[in-house]
Amino acid sequence: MTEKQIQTLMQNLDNDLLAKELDDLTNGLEIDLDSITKKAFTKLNKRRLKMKRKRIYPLVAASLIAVIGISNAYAAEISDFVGSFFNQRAIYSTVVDGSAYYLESPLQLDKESKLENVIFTKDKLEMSLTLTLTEDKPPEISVATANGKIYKPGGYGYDNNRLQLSFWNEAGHNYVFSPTKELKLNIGEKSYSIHLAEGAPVVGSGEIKPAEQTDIGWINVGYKKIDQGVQILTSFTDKDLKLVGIGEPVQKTVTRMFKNEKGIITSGTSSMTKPLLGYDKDKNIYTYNRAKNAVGRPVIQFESQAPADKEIELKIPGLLVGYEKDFGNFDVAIPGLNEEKRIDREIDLKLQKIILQSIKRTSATTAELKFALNTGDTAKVAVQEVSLYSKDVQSGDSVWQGDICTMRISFAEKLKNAEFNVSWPRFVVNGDWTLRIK
Amino acid sequence: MNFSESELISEIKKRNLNAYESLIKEYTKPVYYLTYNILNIGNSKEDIEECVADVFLEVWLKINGFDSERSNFKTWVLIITKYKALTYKRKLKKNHVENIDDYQLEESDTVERQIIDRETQKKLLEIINSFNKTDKELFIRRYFYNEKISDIMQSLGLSRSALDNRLLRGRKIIKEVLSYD
Repeated sequence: MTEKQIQTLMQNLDNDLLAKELDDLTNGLEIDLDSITKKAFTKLNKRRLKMKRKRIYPLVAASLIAVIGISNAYAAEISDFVGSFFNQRAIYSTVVDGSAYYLESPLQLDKESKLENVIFTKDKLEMSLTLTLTEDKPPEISVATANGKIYKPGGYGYDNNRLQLSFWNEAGHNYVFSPTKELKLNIGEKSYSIHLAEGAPVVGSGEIKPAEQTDIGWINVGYKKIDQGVQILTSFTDKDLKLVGIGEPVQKTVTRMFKNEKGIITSGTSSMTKPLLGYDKDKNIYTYNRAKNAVGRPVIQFESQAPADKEIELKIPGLLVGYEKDFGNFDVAIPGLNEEKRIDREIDLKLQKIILQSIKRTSATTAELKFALNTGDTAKVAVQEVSLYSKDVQSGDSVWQGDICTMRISFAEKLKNAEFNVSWPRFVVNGDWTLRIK
Repeated sequence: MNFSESELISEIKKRNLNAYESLIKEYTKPVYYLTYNILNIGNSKEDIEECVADVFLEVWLKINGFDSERSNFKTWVLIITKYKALTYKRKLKKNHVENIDDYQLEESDTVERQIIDRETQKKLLEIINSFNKTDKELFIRRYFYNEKISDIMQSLGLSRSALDNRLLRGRKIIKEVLSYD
């Protein structure tokens, strides 16, 4: 028997047959699967979310949810609960506030490029294109609307020939948009007319049923039954608050990074949530997964194999929510080598508070900032992460875990003072809502 | 969520994060073991974990380059592991230069591979399991992981001739039992 023959045999062992042999071989090796998984996801997230300049929304691309018709069913006796969902519109498998337009089906632009999806709302203009980049950056792209507004990419991500773009209003330096049905997409020298469809109102023909009462009064949670599962709806008394995800976060520890390098590159841990669990009266358990192929943000459509004729008690352990707004700046004096300075500066994030406790110079060009999280008195709300950005330093990496955040920064040796901007906090709200699905 | 191998490949191509998680769960053990054998001398557990995590990212990024007609997925993952671990080794030990050709894995012959049935695989494992502990480890490291003879010699404390003899003796037994030409 040749070496090649035995090599071929060995390398084609079925996985299950090999598993035991590997168990024997790795016996005594301490393999920390959690640590490896975390590292692999952090690397993937950094890769996927490489963005430039302003932050970007993960782009939506998903199938359209069941169309919800307009109805006056509730017009006569609109409860406060149902009323709280007014002004929300369904696009793809998510909902947004106010008027909204989306691309109904992918559009072939030319031989090489295809427009996969577009979402255009009052604070969001995002699109996804399939095209091959010839350089390590996208071509000149802009969007023009009939009223003369021009929007340019504020961030992008590129993965597997899919270019994900988030636009901003360059003239206004903001994310304030005037959504319209018609727009012109300019890519390099080429121009394309795009026609968008209007999102459907959430409060329509389908009945929204509320979750069992919890002691959190500032969030309304309810559901609608749709073809394959349920659509979970939320509304907030604070209009600035937005839903980020439904359910318990997959990752307990969140990492963020930024780098000032030919623009600003930022990335962060994914906001994925675990599937929801439903129980029938016999205590059978059913898993509710986010709708397949739905990559909109946040996905509110969940699918399961639960029988249609049984009442299911669907548990929602928590929600991820956030403010997409700026909370101002603070200055930090950089201490001398090996020095540590106490700061104790409180930062109010509306739903919670955090405190910058101290800064310690760890080398000539690095320092470590310590934050205490969840120092406010809002029950059941935990800070998951906050964007802390400084243009004065070269890079920053932060780890958010439990009640502590540690941030390491790198900077030029002569730096005396760094100004940090606080924005886009994200929270975990542990509400333990229950939906009785009939 | 459990995926079959073909589902796993297909879902990674679709950028399904559950498939990424499943890939890590299913393949950490072989990837870690190979990485460990290449990097364990003079490098930390942290370095090994970083390298293993990089392997999974690379599988994710290069999945469209995997051709199931030409190679076995597990072997393909391990080839990536080997290159990645060697790159780490060079980076971590700047003065130490390895010849990458020493680690080049030949593609298995597709036709030959197709005739390997599960019964043959089971029989092969039975034979290898009948070997003593050292020979068993030797066969798996040499023929499954394609580890360099010199590395195996070093870690098992065997001379070249002792190692060659053990491999030859084992191959003879396998040949006889499997009636291989």
